[in-house]
Amino acid sequence: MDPIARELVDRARDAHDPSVLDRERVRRKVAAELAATALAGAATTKIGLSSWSSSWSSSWSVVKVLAPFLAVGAVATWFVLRAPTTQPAPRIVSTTTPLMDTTHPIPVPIVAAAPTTDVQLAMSVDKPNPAPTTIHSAKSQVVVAPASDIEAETRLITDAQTAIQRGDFTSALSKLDEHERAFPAGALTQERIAARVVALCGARRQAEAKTLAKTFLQQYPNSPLAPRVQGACATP
Amino acid sequence: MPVEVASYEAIYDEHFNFVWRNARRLGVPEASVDDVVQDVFLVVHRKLSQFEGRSSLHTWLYGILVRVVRDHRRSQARRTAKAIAVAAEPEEPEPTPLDLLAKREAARVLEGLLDELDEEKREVFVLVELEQLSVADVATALGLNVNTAHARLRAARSAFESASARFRAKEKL
Repeated sequence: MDPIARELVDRARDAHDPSVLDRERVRRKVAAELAATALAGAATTKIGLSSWSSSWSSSWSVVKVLAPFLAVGAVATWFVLRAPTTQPAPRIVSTTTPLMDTTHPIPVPIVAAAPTTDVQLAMSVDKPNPAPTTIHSAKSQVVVAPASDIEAETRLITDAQTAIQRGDFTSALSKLDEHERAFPAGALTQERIAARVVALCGARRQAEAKTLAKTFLQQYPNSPLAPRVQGACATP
Repeated sequence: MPVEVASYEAIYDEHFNFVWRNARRLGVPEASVDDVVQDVFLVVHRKLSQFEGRSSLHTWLYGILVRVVRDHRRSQARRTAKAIAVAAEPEEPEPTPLDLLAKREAARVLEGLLDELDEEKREVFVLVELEQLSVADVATALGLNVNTAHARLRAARSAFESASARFRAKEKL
């Protein structure tokens, strides 16, 4: 090339480098997509998601069809993204607004007033709480998870879903327990409970699965995961 | 022989800049670069276990990037959204330091010149001239015969020089 064109190329060589913020923003988006895609994985395997070699782009469009599943993780992360990256985390936020207004489903990943475990959540259905401390409670404390937590949560949920896909429901439940211990009210709590319903169904623990599914549907009636939870035990 | 491959996280950390800047150089508008880079790393995550190490990681990543960008470009073209995408690019949010402005100006000029290359020439030119990879690696990344890659590079350099000359002439007016 002529020297002037060469100099132009040399001067512009680093002109398109991303910022640290770009790097972290995309990292979080990818983590959220992976978590949601993992949960939808059991459904997608039936329609050939893994056929990259023939047409990865068509496989990808399958994932996009499953956008409702992806939405939960993405919106949960959206809430995290709103937090300045320089802010120490986790942080406590007080709110007086409904935490899961079904008409304006602002994702709030963590609710202190929610039952401690998925099992307690299920039990609370049969024993209605006189003073409901559900996600609709008027004044709750919300912990916003930092990005590293999102990634750790994503890994555990992904591991659980991978185990479900290979039919190893014991391992899946173990991973979900691990997630629950580490992140009792984490950003991917809905995904965990939904995956647990699927795993319990797979492990032929239908009664537990149905109880938990019922609770999930009561707590999150408009969740994009609701149809998956509803049909979990019906899936052959 | 099995090849030891870095973890997804390590690949993301090490190669994010490579993927990002080359997405921009391949013509992805600023407003869409997040989506494209995200798609690339989702593919990387899904396909990493199948990476056999027959090419370098850079070469493999560039192959994925080129496919994602081509897909993106086609979908954009179908929606004739190019103008919309350009219009949607955010304006400068805050006053920027001079060096940042200079960098942006360099990026703008380079983008203008690269836009004058067709897709095939641009893909080869970016990897050889800007990333300074070998033509053999580029041929592997793009699934080309090495001679074809050389031919495209020659044509791309010539087209870039012409575009550069036109740009300089225009600037003098």
